[in-house]
Amino acid sequence: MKAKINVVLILLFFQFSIVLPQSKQIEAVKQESSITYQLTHLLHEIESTSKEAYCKIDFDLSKKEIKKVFVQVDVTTFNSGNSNRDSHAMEVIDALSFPDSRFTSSSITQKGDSLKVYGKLTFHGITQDIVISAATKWTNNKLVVNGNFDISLTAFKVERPSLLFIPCKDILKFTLDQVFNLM
Amino acid sequence: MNNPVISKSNLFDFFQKSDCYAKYFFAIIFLSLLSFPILKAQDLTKNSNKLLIPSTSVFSNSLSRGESLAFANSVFPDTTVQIFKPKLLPDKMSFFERGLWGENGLMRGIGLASPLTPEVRKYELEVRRTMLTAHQIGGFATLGLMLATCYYGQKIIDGDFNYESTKKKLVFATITSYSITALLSILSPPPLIRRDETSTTTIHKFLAWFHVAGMIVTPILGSLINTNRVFNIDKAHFHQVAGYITTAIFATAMIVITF
Repeated sequence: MKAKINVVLILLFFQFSIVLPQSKQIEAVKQESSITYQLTHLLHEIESTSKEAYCKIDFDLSKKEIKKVFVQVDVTTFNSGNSNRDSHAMEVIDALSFPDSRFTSSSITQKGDSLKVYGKLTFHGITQDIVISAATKWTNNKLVVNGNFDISLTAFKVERPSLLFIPCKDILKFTLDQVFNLM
Repeated sequence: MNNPVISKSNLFDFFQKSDCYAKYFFAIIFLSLLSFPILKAQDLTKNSNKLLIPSTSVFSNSLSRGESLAFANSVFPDTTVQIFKPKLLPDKMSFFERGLWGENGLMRGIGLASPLTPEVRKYELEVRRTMLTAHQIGGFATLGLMLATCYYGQKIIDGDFNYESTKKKLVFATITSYSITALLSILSPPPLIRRDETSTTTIHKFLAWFHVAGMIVTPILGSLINTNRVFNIDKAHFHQVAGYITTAIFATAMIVITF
């Protein structure tokens, strides 16, 4: 009888270990998260931010590790404080044909609080492999991820915007600040 | 004897003396009309596939739009990749812009632009970019002409009347260049995004009200300098100051856009 109970308990244990989720999909809190790009021109530096990005991670609760990342943003939501400039940016990236930009991770390496997220970024209708360097921070049941990556405008077939006939630099620097509520 | 008030006869003299103004006015209108045929919408739908699905052969590691969506779905099978549809016209449009380029605007009404579709709007944004680039070139040319006019105007005030004919030519060139430059901005299709904000562009547009006023007042004051064919230095000084102020405001409007 006791042996039977043990077998049942072992089976139940295996059952739960399979059924209970090891990882959880969490969406970033939009109000607290943002994506910013920085564009450098000879005359000044421009920063444009979107607080409308949709970011989702697959999070391993036991290991406290991010397993997968997906980010999608409506490119027209970026605001540099000058709508004329933002409108010009939308023209050069052809926002009417390619209204969103998205990133899907393919692999992630984590060393302590440092992350390297490898994946594919689709921007201006072109998909390229990129690497996002990020750092994680834990505060009050919240996971804060700060990441950054650079892209080349010409690699994504984007004509460099000009001001007074001077084109901006080819490198577009992105900064991601995403906050996840783990409760 | 030097009546500073603009009387009817002064205005009559102004228009009679400078019958060339009419010529330049019609030249401006004609040149503006020339820019309209390029706005005539074309059938761009033939290229739509090429625009929407870029070639994968350009970059070895690039994916098509469909493949990219499929990849995202394979990583996160239960995530719905959102499909965004951007607004074709900005929420904030001036009465003039709406009347000209709105969904039922004059341009579409008279057939100079096609009914509003994403493809047509893309073409309109290209036209806008071309017009605004020409607006920038026109701005530099106008500033150069304004400075040259000021220089020769100053020479005349200093007593060298040999430059009167040169100055007159420069005045006409400045007015023509200024008018074309202004029309290129005013008549351009609206941007994709416009928000309520104070930016360098807002200041640039705000200053335009003042240099427009200056461009109207300065030639009128100039036409009043010669009373009964006698050069009146007091009236010349009013014209001189108006010219310098207009040039300064115009230059400021150009500089402010670089910040």
